[in-house]
Amino acid sequence: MKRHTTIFLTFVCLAAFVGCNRNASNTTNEQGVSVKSGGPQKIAVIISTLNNPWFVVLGETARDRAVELGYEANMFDSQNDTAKEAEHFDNVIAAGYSAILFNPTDADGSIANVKRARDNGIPVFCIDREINSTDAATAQLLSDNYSGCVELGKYFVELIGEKGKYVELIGLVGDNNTWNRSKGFHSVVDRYEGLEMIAQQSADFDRNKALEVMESILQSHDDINAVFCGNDAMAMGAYQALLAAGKTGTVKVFGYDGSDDVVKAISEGKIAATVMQYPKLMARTGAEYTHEYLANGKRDFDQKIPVSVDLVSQENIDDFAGYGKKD
Amino acid sequence: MTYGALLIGGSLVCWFFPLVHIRRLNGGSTSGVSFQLAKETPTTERPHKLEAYTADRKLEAYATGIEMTDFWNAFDRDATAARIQYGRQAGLGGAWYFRIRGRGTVEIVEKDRVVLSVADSSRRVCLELGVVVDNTVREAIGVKASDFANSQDFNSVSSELNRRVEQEVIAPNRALLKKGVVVDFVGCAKIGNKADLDPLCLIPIQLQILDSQRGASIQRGGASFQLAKAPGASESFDQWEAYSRSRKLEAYATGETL
Repeated sequence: MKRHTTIFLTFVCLAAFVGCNRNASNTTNEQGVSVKSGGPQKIAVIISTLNNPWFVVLGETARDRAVELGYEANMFDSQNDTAKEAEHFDNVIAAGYSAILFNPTDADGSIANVKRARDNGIPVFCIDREINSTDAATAQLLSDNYSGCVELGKYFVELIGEKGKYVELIGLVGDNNTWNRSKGFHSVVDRYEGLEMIAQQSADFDRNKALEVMESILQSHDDINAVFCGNDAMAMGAYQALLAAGKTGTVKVFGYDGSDDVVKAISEGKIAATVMQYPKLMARTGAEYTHEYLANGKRDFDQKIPVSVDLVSQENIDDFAGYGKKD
Repeated sequence: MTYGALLIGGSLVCWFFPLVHIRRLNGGSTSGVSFQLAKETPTTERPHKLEAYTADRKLEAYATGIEMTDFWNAFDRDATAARIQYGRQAGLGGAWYFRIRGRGTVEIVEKDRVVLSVADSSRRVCLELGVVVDNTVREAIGVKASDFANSQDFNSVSSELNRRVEQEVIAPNRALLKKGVVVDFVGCAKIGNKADLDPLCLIPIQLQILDSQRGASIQRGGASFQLAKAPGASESFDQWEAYSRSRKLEAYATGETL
């Protein structure tokens, strides 16, 4: 009995040792990417939601660039649910991914996930949305939302004038982007006493919710001049509500993102303006930083890297396409 | 038989779920190890907060500056080199930010700005005197996003700096900037393209009004001059107060863009 137990334990230890060494048997391919005996290193692209085309572009661009750089890359949809996001992190860590390109669901709620990955030796690069920490992620590439909405606010005043009534639809309340956009906009508009905000409501960055919220607001306010929306999906929802109410001629809609449909709507005079974030630039740069980390040993990344944005309006619409500048 | 099955089962479990992983410590090509991450990411949040960038003594850390004519000459020689040498880009892409000092004579007074002529140059400078709303001042003095866990705090620095510029620099000097007045200035510029160089528009972070007559002779005389004309005896106590408050921003005024 004792002899059998000894043999059993010996085999178990041997198997564990061999299993442990699987990850140590890496080689380097032509691109400098460490390749396991079973294939290339894996990069996870975890995105807050794929229910919004803007985030689809962000995620797909990151994934495709990672593949171009020689990695196996897979995309995960958190569906704006921090619990689902946590599951993705658990699975990614257990599956031996080498890095994570991450678009968080919640600036505070996502920190624990990033720290868990970090503690398992997995670098995390945040793209577009931030986490409220400077010691968890390897780097964070973030649209300069505040500046973008300062510019949008200036244009808003130029177009509406120094007097009028407006509605603000904000995004997810737990997301810093929501407040940076709102604060940037208000840093300008609040300087004009004649501009009155008659309603500020959240529509969670969602087109359908924005439609519902706007319909409800229009029932009690028929004298508004403008709607400022914290993203383009909400701008399209608001526009749809205004269209149904026959108000598109008198109410100007402002968005944020630079999505395909809103860029087109600006060129058609339906939407007044948006701010072009560059999801492709952020995603590609995020993938390239990851490559620098994994293949070239770079470690000295700035923690938070603002990415420049641009106002898009009737005046410069010819320079832009959906999600970026025209080539 | 039972032991055999246990042996195989145990081996399989350990193969797929090893208790520990062995990795090379010099693993530049591996997925990274914890001690390397610990070096790049400090374990505690950095202490810099809004106050750290707006408290007077902290601002004094920013030293030396670029003379306006040197700035223009540098851009004429090589715009790219000038941007890198004297400017700062806030992040990925976009405009460059500068702190520039100089002296000019007010030629045109508009609602929210004055346009200055500058000795020995055909180019003009405008000083913005309206509401200050964007991040130009913050970026020009070199506040870093990485010092803030929450970007909302980073953006609050802009709001606070802008408020101080409006209250401490623009408000007390605005009425004094009349046609013919000579003024020493230090200002923050956002340069996105060549058109931004003429007129070069600055958000002033220091203004020192000189007597217009004496100012003219100073410009001709060159090196030796009295720096500032404080508000005269006929001016109100409030203006004196405002003037002294504006001194608080002087620490920025000599700073080099980081």
